[in-house]
Amino acid sequence: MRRFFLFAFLLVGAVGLRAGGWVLDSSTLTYRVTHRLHKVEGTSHGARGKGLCDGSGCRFLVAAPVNTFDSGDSNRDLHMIETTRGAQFPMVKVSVNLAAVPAGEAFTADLSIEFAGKSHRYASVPFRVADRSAGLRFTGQIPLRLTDFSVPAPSLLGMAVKDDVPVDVEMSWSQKP
Amino acid sequence: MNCVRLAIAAALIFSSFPVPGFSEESGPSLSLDDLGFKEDQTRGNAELQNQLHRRSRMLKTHQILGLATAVPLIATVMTAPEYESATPGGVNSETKTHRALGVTAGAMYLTTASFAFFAPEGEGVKRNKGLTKVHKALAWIHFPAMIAAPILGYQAYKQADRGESVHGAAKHHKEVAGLAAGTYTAAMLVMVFNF
Repeated sequence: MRRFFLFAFLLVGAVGLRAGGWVLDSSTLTYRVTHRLHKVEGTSHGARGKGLCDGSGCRFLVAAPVNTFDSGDSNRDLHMIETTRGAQFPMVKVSVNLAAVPAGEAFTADLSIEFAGKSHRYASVPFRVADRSAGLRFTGQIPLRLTDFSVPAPSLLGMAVKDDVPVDVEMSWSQKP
Repeated sequence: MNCVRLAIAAALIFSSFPVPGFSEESGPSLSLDDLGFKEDQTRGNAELQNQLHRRSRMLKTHQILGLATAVPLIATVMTAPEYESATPGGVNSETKTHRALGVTAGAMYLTTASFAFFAPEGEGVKRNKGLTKVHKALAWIHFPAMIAAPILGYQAYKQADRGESVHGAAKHHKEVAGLAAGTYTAAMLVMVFNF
């Protein structure tokens, strides 16, 4: 019986050691829209993410429902969902490949984003590591543009919002046991 | 000891087997299913998208008509004649202009309101949050005022036409119309700066 458990332990350990897993504990994603009359921010805390690492590198996937972004006004949020085709494509997905888990105070990453039914790649987006005491917490800004995803720019009084809609990112990751 | 060697050998062999979620050729892979979202969160809804599109179109029309309605509404207020006392000879052309503008403003107002009233409600977002709530709340004031103002105005018109001084409820036409115009303008400005 002891031999059996030793055998099983070594077997599971050998498999487990191959995979490093990460899970997104908490996140804050904030988009910023600029119009001549005023600025608007919408924030989501509804993102979920996972990461897998092995000898060939790390892959991370983060996704958030479009309808979790809250700008403080329900009418505006509904219009945002309509404009970004959020009912038809309800999730915004971000895929990242890294050579290894970031070790320094800052790192850059190539982001592949699926949003509003379109895909776009942002190269070398800088992020700053804020804390490593309990996993990995970092912040950054994704330089998103409406035209990258064929999203028509909303307008008021004949003036459209700016094409640049940067998304501030703050994420806390921890390793799976 | 042989068992230990056997166990280590087996571990080395099995460590080369593929791991669920990993691909030897392309490394580890992840999908939305791995993140734990519910199916209704990740599934697209074309019907809801069409409904939201219809809503946006109607509210955009409501917005444009609302801005356009402000023109005859303000013009109506500015062309309001004074009938503090009896006016010999009845109404004059200034009153007729005021009346025509008022009718125009009223018709445009009701058309504007209908686009908002009949626009589909949205799903998936908490309703009536933010300054849109104020915009909707102001309608409870300017809508009844816009109904009452022309009624009182007509009464005042008839009294003036008979050469009488404006009296009774009709003498409040100015205040009611002013309330309607004021709250309407406030409702408009709230949405202009709440875009």
